Amino acid sequence: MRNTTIGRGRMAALAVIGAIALVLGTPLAASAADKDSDVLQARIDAVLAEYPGGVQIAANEIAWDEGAVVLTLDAPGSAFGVLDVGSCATGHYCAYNGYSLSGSKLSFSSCATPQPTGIIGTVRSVANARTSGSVYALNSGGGILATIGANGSLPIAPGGITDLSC
Amino acid sequence: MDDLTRLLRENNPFRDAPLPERATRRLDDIISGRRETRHDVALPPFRSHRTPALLAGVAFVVTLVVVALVLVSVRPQVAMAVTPNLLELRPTVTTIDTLREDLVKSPLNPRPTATSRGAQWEGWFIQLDADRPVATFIQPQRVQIAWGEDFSGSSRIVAGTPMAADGSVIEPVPAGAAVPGTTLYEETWGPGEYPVPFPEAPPEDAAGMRGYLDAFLASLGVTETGPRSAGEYLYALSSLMQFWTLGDAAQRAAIEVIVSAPGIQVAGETIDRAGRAGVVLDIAPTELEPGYRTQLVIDIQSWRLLAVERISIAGDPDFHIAPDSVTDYTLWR
Repeated sequence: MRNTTIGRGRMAALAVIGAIALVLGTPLAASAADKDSDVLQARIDAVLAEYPGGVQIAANEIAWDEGAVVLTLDAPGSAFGVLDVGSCATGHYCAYNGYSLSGSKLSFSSCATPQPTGIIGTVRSVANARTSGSVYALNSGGGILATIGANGSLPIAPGGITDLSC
Repeated sequence: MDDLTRLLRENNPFRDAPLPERATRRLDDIISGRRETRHDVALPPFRSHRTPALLAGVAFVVTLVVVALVLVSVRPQVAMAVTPNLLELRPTVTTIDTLREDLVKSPLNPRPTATSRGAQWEGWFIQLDADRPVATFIQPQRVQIAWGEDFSGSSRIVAGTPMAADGSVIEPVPAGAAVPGTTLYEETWGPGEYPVPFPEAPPEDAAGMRGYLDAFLASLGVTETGPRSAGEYLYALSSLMQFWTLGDAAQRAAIEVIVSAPGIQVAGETIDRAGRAGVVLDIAPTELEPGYRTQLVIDIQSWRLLAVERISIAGDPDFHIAPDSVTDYTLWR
């Protein structure tokens, strides 16, 4: 589902990734200008220094415990972060007027009230990049058409979505 | 002569002392009657006791206006979102009727391209964030979608070259923009995770295509109170083309469905954002997206779909979108 993929030991890898994200001062997400492979290697080195015992198995991958845990960092040139969902930034939830998290995007962070999505026209997909809590796709009557869990997405949304809430 | 004048004449206080020459002349004038006393002079209009209150009110209003003007002038001005200029239109002799006739008469491409699973398109799509200011540049994207019969799929979106509203390239890359060629994001979905709404290949004849698009619209709950409009069919077609790459015959069939429906007219000719000549069809808003009008650009030589542009009719002040702004465009190669 994600560009940062995990081989086996999913829970362990998640813990490692989460810890790495906290430890590193800069996010694992490469910036838009992050094209230099030296930058990627620097990130690999930082991870290995913080979590010794791993083996670099590719330009952007490290394995621990003979491959039981594999961390794949975003390749240079990628512009999204570990906890983003598609282009929906961490902590936000997003409506798209294209399928598969494409097209025009409307991004929110507040859960105070249902957020109307009409400005982008029809909603065809939804992302929830919040670390906890679901996002609800609502119709004009307030009925729930779909529920998107934390750090999840709905690549092909049902018709009739007019608002998102969380 | 009134009492005051008489008293002055009888009680000249300077009778025993010399007055300055000018004062003496004036006094003589008054006493002799050559100069009018004050009450004979026309007095200014009567000033009521309400005048001070009126003046205070006026002053208050003026102050309010001045304060308001100052506040407006010092408040930070929020820039409108940068959106692409509307397509430039040239007059054309083509009408919707001649289009319909030509579609029937013109021969099919002898070596037509085939329809295939998956899709690719380029375009620009407005990105709005309720918490952040609007972008000051336009950055197109290239989108690639692949999917399999097991309903697994993947998407990849790559950044294009940042541009100004007129399409001119912005160099160097502005702050906040991605380096052209950067993968903005990619996603993969495992088997069964990508429930494509168009699992069957689209038909290549107009009647079949119409039924195919009708079925999709019905699945969305779009009611059919009368003939489907061109806008509704274009909405369905735009959705379809996010999953399938249409061959020549299917594209021609889709064009025939759209131009045969109500709610469409020829706007003119243009050169689209990829530099291709085409005919622009204005498509009226639908209930699906009532705030938008759409322009479809087609090549009437090859009967291929070139581009579609959505235009926000009223704009949105909350997101600093001016009325009649292009909010996204899609180019199909």
